[in-house]
Amino acid sequence: MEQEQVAATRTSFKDLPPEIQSMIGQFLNPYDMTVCVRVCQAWKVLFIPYIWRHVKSSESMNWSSMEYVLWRCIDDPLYGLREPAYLVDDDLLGLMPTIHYFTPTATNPDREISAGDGFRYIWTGIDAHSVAAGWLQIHQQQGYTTVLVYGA
Amino acid sequence: MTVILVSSDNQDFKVDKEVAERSILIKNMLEDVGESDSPIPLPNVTSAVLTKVIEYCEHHRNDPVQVPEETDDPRKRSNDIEEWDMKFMQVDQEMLFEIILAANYLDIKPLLDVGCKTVANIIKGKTPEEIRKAFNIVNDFTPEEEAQIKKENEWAEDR
Repeated sequence: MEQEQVAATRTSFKDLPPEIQSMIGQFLNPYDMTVCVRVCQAWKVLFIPYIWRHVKSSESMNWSSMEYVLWRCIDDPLYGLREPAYLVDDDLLGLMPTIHYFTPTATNPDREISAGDGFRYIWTGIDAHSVAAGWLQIHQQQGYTTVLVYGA
Repeated sequence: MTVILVSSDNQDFKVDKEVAERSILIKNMLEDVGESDSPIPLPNVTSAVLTKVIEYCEHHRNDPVQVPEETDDPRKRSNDIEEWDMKFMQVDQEMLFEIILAANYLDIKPLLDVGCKTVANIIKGKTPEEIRKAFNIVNDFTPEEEAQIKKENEWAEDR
């Protein structure tokens, strides 16, 4: 097969349209993504949405209240929208109804969650066929507690 | 029945209609035009790339039409590339990206998939620096940004 190096400007990853770059992302696992966001600015923008999904709370929360919010979201996907204290973004709304088993690994449920905290969760689909596991991580910025759901 | 495809550098490729129709773009064009001998210009595809694409379509000429998979898992696997396709994709990186672009333009979904999987497999298991090297990407993070991103993500690396 002749592989002519015709073009002066070589075609590379950045020449792929965004939808194809995203398509490649579908074949990567969450771990690969955490590596990808560290490659360059463009890759960070591209891959960050795959890694993080958000639950926001304007109050400080402890592990119990966090779990409560998450459970409420499971029971009622609109909960976060109606309840002013908690904002749940669209990505998470799509995700939450499928969670029915949730295990924070925090040792002390009354400890206030703070930036940098992370805990593992497991969820299974309603049909029990789809099982996923991942991590949640807590960020605090601009007066919000943000829970980043990783590995969705 | 055969059709004539014309690459961007004006080379003619005579291929069986069945082979050409692996490309949904060409299939739709042929349906729109009806019976016709006029060559089909493909201004976005060079002859080198078109040669490869035709090779792929020849090999897969009898494949059943791909039905979109219904799956609960939004994350797809990249380790299911069949052997012939794997060999087919052993090309230099520029050609790999050119094939992906052509597959996208010509609307050949299985080829696009295999191309994306191949790129994903290059990414997998590498460090950020190795990925930069593999794709010739310049690290445009400031040292502070780099430290911050690493910090944000390293907890997750405990798999």
